[in-house]
Amino acid sequence: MTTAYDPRTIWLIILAAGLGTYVLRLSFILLFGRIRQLPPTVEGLLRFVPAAVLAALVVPAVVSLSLTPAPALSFRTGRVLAAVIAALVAWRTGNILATIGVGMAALWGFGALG
Amino acid sequence: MAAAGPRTGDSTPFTRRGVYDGFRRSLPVAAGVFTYGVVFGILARQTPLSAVEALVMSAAVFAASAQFVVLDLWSRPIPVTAIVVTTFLVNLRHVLMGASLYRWLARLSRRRVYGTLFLLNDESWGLAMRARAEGERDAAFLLGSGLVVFLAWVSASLLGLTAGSVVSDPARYGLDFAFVAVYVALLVGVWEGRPDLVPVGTAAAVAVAGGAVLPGNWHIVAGGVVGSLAGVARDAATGRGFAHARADHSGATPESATDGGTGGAGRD
Repeated sequence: MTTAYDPRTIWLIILAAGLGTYVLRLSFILLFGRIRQLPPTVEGLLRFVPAAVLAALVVPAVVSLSLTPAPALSFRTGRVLAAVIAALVAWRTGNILATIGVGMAALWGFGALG
Repeated sequence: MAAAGPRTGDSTPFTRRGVYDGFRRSLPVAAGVFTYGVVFGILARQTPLSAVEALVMSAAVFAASAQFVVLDLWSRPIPVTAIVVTTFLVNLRHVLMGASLYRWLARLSRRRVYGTLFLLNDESWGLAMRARAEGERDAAFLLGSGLVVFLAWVSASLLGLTAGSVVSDPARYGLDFAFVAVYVALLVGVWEGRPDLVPVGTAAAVAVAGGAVLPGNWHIVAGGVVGSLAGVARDAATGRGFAHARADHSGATPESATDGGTGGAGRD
């Protein structure tokens, strides 16, 4: 925890993330004279990005692929079950805190399963 | 603050009353954002980020899901490029929101637009679009809504950072699962039904496969990009994309961008 991280790198990341986000928020106003309309393909792409990125964050955290000795999927059973329960809670309640709480409790409950 | 728009003589109102209305009507949503901000602060405390750095991030980035991603991907050595690219991808939806707001904001002065859009967030966007659909014309509504959500987010981050330092090392095991739970909640929030099955399934498959062969966190970027492309390809193959384009002949109308939704209000 106390390892020395280069503070300049940290500030660079914060700056880049902040600036990048701001540019995205302004993008349409900045471009307004040139692009009046998003091409449908681009609009479709933007629509799918949030769900796709989130799926790419979630699934590798509970399932991993190993190539040696032979290609095989390994499921971290406790995590898969906890994620499914978390999804049910999120779906039913729409509450992020409840999702975290129940999800983590489920993970501890399933801890024995790995 | 005068009601009249500057210079162009147009009639997009931008008044103090609009700020107040946006602020007041966003209070319930801000309360939800507050609880979420506390969670961010507590989790941030468990990373090597200092409290000041995490707090500045909350104020400068002001995008919950992107900030959770930054915390989650933090490892040693710091994967700077992957973090920045993933953050960018997670925030791409703001382009759509900006597009949907274009007509409303286009005639305001640059100062007002830049200030208002700095505070743009999912919740305020959803509330403002709904208010506009109900007849709201005052663009300062969005500013007021952004302000209250911003204040809630930053103060909650501070509270979480403070509380997180009291709770020293709370169960390191399973901490990363808190992020998974957050992502699951966000994913359920943006889920729009069966059309999302192809992009989400593709993203998951590519990310898992990529995890075995790609360095760092690039499998997340790969999954997000390929998954989104798969959704577009499916739309093109089934003709859905064309129906979308037909309804959108005049460009950035609120209706079209709302239709292309980003999950709307309630979650970020």
